[in-house]
Amino acid sequence: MELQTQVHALEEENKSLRAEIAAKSDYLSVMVHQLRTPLSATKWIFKMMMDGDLGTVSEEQKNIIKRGYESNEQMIRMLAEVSEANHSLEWRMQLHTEPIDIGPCIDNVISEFTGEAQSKKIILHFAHQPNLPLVLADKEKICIVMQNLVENAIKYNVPTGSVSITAEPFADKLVVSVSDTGMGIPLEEQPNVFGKFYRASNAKKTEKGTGLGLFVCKQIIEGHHGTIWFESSPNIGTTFFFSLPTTASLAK
Amino acid sequence: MQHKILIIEDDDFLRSLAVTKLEKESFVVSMAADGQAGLLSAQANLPDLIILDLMLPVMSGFDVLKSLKSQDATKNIKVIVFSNLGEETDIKTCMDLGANDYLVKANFTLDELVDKIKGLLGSATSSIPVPPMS
Repeated sequence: MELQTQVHALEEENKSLRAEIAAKSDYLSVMVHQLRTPLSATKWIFKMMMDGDLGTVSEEQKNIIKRGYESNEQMIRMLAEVSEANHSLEWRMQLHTEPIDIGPCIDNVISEFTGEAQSKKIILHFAHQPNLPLVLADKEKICIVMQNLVENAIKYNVPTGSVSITAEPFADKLVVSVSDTGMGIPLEEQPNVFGKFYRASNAKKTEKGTGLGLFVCKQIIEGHHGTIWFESSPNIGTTFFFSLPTTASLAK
Repeated sequence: MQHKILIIEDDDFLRSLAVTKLEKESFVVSMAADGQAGLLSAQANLPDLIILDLMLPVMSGFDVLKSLKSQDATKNIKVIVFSNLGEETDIKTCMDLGANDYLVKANFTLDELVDKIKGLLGSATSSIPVPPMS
């Protein structure tokens, strides 16, 4: 009787917590939408000023206005990342999975980031093996994970460095790795890396970011019953790994 | 051949900036500040393209889109959804309802909006009629 009461109480608590999470998530969606309106207005005004649509602007004035425009763009980007992180918790619970070949997804992400890699003279390479086992996955969400990992690998890398991607079967899983030759993650900070809004001290010094990318990746991979982890040596580089169960293993 | 654009947007300032830009590009522009007025304007003026916000008073952009697509007179008018909502579900709903494109306002400058419009309509500023895009 006692146990039944406890179970019931826990179920009620669970329901109420889920409702609270949903309410907070909705609130955040509304906030993101509301903030985008004044940000759009500012974006368009700065652009019109830079283009001379509102009257002649000196080169010096243009440069300052450009800073305003970029600052505004950064706010817009941050909102997009916050929105993504907000939804990543829901995504974890609502993945639309199907058997997929992860190869094309990785190829697409490579094409997407080729330009950015080239501008830093970074070599971006995927050792695409044929006949990779299929994984049961939400294609769009796995692409988001790849985008985040590749973006970080380029961002925190050194010029003329490299980013190498592999995908290999290992026991009943498919393991994907993304390696870079970049700044690495300081040892004492490594336990915190997947935390919401966490940014390592060396990362903060050189690049802008919200600290949400890896948090989102973790939600997605764990929602797939996979694992995400990394190995890193400061000033040498970092490799991120994630594993996904193969469809063959799930059929057992 | 000048193209007619209808912009349905409730934020006065954003609407005025967009109208200024579109008129500079030689489009003939009409506007509405709520969904119902927008729908009536579309039915009366039969524009070539509608720029449609989603969070609108009186009638939402989703309902406007539904109505436009359910009537023979208006179902072929091109629609660009232009909104600061950006959830996957919103985008999917609009594209399933027949929108030609979905742009998040904060991610596009007005020049880029004009490029998208021209892409859907073909060149709007030439005085020689442009053959329809296949």
